[in-house]
Amino acid sequence: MSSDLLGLFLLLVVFSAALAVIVSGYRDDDPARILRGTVRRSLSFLGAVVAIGVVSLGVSWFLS
Amino acid sequence: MEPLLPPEETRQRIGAAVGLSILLPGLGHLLSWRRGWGLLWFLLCQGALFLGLELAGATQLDYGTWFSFADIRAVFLLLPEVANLLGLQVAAQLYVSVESGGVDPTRVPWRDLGHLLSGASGVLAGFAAAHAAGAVLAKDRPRPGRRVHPGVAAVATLLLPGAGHWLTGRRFKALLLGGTVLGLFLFGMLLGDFADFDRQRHPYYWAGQMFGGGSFWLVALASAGARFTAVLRFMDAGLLFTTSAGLFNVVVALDAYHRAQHDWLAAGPREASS
Repeated sequence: MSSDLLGLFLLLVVFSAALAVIVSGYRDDDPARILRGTVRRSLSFLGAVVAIGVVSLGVSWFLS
Repeated sequence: MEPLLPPEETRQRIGAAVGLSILLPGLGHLLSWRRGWGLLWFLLCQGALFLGLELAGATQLDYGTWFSFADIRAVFLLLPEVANLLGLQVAAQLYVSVESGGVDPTRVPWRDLGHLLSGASGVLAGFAAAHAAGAVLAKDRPRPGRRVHPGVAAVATLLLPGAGHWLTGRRFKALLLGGTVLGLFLFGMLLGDFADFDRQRHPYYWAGQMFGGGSFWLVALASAGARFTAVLRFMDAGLLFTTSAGLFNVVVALDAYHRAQHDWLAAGPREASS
C-alpha cells in the first residue's frame, strides 16, 4: 500500500514535470523563463493533484 | 515579445488552405501553386490509407462509426483517419471489414502495420494542412535566404519531436521539448512492458499515441508483437504517459509553427533586385 502510494507519487512528479516543460515551452521562448516557468507550473500542478487526492481520501474515510 | 501575425488577407488564405487540406490532403497546396507538393501529400496520405486497409483486411472500420442525419449515413468517423476526410469516406464505402465475414482480426498477418499506416494517413493529413498553411505564407510574404517556413517546422516535429525547433535555431527548446516528449513516451512504454501501443486494447488512447509521429511509429512497429502476460503495477500510468506524449507533440509542433512564423515575418520582405 505505502510502496504503491510512493510509486504513484513519483509518477505524478514525472508527469507534472513533463506537463510543465511543454506548457512553459509553448508560453515562452527564452530558456531562463522556460526553466523558471517549468519549476513553478510543475509545483502548482503537483500541489493541486495532491490536494485533491488528500481531500478525496479524507472524504472516503469520513463516509466509510 | 508579442508574436507577429500575417496580414488579414494572408490569414484568410491560410484558413482556406487548412480547410482544403483537411478535405483532401494536397488540395490546400494549390492555393500557393505548389502542385508538386500537393501531389506528394495526396499520394502519401491516400497511399497510406488504402495500403493500410488492404493489409489489415479493413478491420480499422470496426473502430469507426457512422454519423447520420435523418437515418441517412452522412460522415464516417474514425480517429485519427478522419483528418483525411474524403479519403476515409470513399474507403468506408468501398471496404468491409473481414471481421464481419467471420474472420478473427487477430489472425490477419499484417494487421498491426495496416492500422499504423491508415492511422498515419490521418496524422499526415493534419500536418499536410500545416505545410499548406506555411506554403501560403511563403508565397504571399516571400523572404530572403534559406529560411525555414512554418509548415516545414511543423512537419519536422512530426518526424522527430524537437526537430522543428532545431531547424529554426532553437537548440535549447529542441532538446528540452523533444527530450521530454520522447522520454515520457519511452518511460510510458516501459511501464506497459512495450505492449500498450495497441489499437485493439485502447482505440482512443491509440489515436493520441499516433500523434507522436515517425519516432513513435517506429517503436510501435518494433513492439507490434508484444502482448500483456500479466497485470502490471503501473500499466495504466504507462498508457496515460504514452498518449499524453503523443498529444504533447501536437503542442510542440504548434509552437514550432508559430515560432517559425514569427521569424519569417520578422525577417522583413524580400527586396526587389535592381
